[in-house]
Amino acid sequence: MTLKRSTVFEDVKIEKNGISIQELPFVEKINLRGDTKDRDFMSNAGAVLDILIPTEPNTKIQNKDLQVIWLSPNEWLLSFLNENHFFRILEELNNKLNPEKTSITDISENKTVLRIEGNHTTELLRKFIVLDIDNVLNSNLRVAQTIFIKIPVLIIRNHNYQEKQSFDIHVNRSHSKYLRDLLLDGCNQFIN
Amino acid sequence: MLIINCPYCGEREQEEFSCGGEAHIERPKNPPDLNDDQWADYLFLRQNIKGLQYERWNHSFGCRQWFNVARNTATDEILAVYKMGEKPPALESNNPITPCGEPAIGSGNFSTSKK
Repeated sequence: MTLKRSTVFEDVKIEKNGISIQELPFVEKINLRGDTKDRDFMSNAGAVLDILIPTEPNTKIQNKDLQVIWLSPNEWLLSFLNENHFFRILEELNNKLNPEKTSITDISENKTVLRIEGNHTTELLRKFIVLDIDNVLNSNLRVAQTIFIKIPVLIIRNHNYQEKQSFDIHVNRSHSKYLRDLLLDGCNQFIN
Repeated sequence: MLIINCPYCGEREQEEFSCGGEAHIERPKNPPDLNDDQWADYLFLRQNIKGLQYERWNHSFGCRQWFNVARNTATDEILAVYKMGEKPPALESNNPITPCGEPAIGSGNFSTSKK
C-alpha cells in the first residue's frame, strides 16, 4: 500500500510582526522504545543509528541524518532529516533489535512540525505554555514535552545563545491549525 | 497551582500531571477468596487522609511516567517525590488543627473516622 505523505498547510510560511511560522517539509519519524539497562539494545540501536541514544532527560542528539529526541526513560523519537535513510534504518532496527524487548513504530503521519522564528518567540510561547522556558529549554540541545493550552506538544530549541530565536513544535496534525491560529493571534502585540 | 518535581523531567507545573489516587495499595493475592465487601474495599475505599498522604501521579503531558508523591493534603505541601517501586520515606506531617475539630481521616465526615 502506498501512503500519501504530505504537510498540513498549503501556505507553508506566514510572517507577522517579525515572527515567522513555518510548517517544515514532511519528515519521517520513528518512535523507539527499549530498556537503557539492556546492553544489546543500547549497542545495536547505537550502531544502526550511528549515534548514541540520549539518556539525559529533555535532551536531543543529532547527526546529519537524524535527530534522536528523549521522550521518557525508555522512549525516543527519531526524526529524520534525510529521507533516504528512513526505510534503511527502519528495516535495520527491525532486524537487529529484539522484538520482545523493544518497540519500533513508524509515526510519521502522527505529527507535523511548526518552526517559529523571530526575536519575540520566547515571549510568544510564554503566552500559551506553563513551561519555565528559560530553565528547561536553556540550550539548543534541550527539548521539552508540555501542554500548549490543552494540546500536548514537543518543543525543541534550535538556537544558540545570542542567535535568532527558533523553536520547533511537534504537534498532532489535527491540532496544528488551532495552534498556528493561536500563535498568529499572539503575534499581534509585537510591533515590528 | 503546585510545582511538582518529576523524578525524570524536573520541576513542572501541576497542569502537566494527573493524580492517580492513593499509593501503595496492594492487590489481594487471591481475589476469588474475597467476598464482595472485601473486594469493594480494595477497589473503592480510600483513606482520604487530612494530612500526610502517599499518592501516585502521572506526568501525562511530559514523560508519561508514573511516580509517587508524599503530599500533605491539608496544606498541599509536597514532602517527597520518589519513583515507582521505591519504599515510601518515613515522614512526619504537621496535621493542621481545624476550627470545627474535623478528624484527620475524612473530609469533615465524622462517620468515616477510624479509631
